[in-house]
Amino acid sequence: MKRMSLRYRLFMYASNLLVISFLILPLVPVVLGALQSERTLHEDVWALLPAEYTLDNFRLILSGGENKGTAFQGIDYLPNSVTWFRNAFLNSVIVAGSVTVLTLLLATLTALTVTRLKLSWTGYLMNATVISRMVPLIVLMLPLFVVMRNLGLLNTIPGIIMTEVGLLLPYAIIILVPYFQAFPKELEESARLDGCTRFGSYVRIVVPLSTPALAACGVIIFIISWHELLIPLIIASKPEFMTLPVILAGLVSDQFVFFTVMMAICLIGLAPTLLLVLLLQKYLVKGLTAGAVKG
Amino acid sequence: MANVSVRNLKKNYGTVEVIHGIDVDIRNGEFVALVGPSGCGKSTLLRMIAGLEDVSGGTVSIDEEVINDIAPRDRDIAMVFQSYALYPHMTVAENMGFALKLAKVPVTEIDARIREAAATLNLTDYLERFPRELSGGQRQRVAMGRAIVRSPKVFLFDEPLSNLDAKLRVRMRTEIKSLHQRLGATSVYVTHDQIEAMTMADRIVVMRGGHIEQIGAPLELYDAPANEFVATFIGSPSINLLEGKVQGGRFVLTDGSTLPLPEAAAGLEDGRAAKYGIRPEHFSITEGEGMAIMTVDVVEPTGNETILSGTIGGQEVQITQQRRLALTPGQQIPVSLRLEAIHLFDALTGQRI
Repeated sequence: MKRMSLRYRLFMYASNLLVISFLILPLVPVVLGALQSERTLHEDVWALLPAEYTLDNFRLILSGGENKGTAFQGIDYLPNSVTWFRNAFLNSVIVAGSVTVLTLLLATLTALTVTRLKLSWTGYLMNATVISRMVPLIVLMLPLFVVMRNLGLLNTIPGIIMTEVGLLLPYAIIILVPYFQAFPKELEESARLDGCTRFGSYVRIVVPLSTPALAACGVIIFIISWHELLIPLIIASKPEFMTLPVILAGLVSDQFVFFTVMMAICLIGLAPTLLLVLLLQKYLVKGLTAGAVKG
Repeated sequence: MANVSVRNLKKNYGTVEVIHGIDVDIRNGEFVALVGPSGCGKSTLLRMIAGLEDVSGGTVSIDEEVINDIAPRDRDIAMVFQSYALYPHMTVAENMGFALKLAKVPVTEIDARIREAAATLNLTDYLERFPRELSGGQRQRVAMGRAIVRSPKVFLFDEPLSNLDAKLRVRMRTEIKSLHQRLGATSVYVTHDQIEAMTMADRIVVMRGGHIEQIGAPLELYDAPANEFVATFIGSPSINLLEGKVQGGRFVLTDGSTLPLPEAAAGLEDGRAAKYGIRPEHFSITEGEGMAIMTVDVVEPTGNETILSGTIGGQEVQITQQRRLALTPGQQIPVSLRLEAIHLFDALTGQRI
């Protein structure tokens, strides 16, 4: 291959940097905002760097509003979002975790049905799956609220999980079906001759070998679920069932806006998704099927 | 150890019937090869025996027990796939022991059987390796080992050597044959390579278009093909077929030149259109007159034999001679034919006369 010219390479690096900084730049005010007090922020809103740094925002939310530090001394009223932060974080972990596991479980089973069983209606099933994603979520909000109320699932974690699984399942199916289609059928056939049932060959052969696809799909599902605002907002009105995005939105009201606290919550909220991507990175790039068939 | 019997077996995909009611009996301990061009239904037949394809009509039985509706895992059959189908996330030992583990065989016995099979197949040093760390030939052997450790009733092979290079294929051919001689297990072997079928099988089933053309021992098929298709399919270089008709006790080619007929064909009526089949090695180059004159076009020496391509009576023929010949293209040589090795096929039906 011809070596790229110096000018061309410089151009590529510059474009890369530009795109990366475009994506990263919004994080800069978040980090700076989280590290200063509300007062410093308001003293000079145009300052590029804060006059003094403090970790009081983090202390406040991590202690559930008890440790006010110097920055919040004298402030009597704290919104629910601050006092319920720890609980909301836990709710978010439970919701996103369960949604990811359940969605992957159901999606792999569906993908297997669609790609392996010779059933005439699976084509329609796939079409219905794709079409269902064309309905905007906002249209479904009112019926969803009524259905959830009738089921007694308003203000419950399972209610949130169920709704999000329903929302995300089509995405997962659409991601996994092509992967399962390309999965060598001989491996399953071989397992079935070796003594597995159809389901056994799925559990013992297909799932372990689909780790890269499942990891990629799982990360996407987790991130979407972690950031989902609309569904938990509608289903959970009590603070004990709120998730992170909901309490974040609750920090903006007619009477007050807690900028620095918001930024601190944003930063902490970012951590799990970042961690997940870093942890699963090796699965995301690793092709485990090498050597399965002639290659 | 078992005999396999297939009765009036049919397979449709939707409205298309691909196997049209075939009967095969495979005896206990026999090595049977299914051969035919691609799309003839040989792999489908094998997969129906394995239980990986549903049976549309007729029966498959093992030891007189009909197994149409028995799941693959309960048939006690092992299969070696063309792509090997080794589990990439398991080591060689785990691959080989997988079936035994599922059958809840005690760990010590699994280990012993894996070691025994590995020793047979020269895989002892590779037991802890993963399939991706093995060469094509080694993967092939692991696939065989996986079948052997189970000591199943029936072994099925689906073109197991197709992915190997020519040299390795010949070696594995010998290995599989000697393995079969040692284990004596009933085996069904699918291949499109007639040489593989000829060298390995006790009996060959020749298939075409979902029908069985002929079943017989390799040399039986070679010496007495039932029809034109079997005659051309078996043997390399393939049999020469010359078009013409029977006239006055001779075979008259389309250009008017004549060839002698064997005594067995004496009763044929004059004017019957037929094809005159003779294998390349049944020609000999003679001094003097000969039975026909061949015009040489191409001379291909292979060392142990010489393949001559040319024409007799304007029709293409290939002959082989077990000696070295100094001939030049365009040269005309007198040849004689072994009359008892001549086959006549009906011009329309292709059936042997």
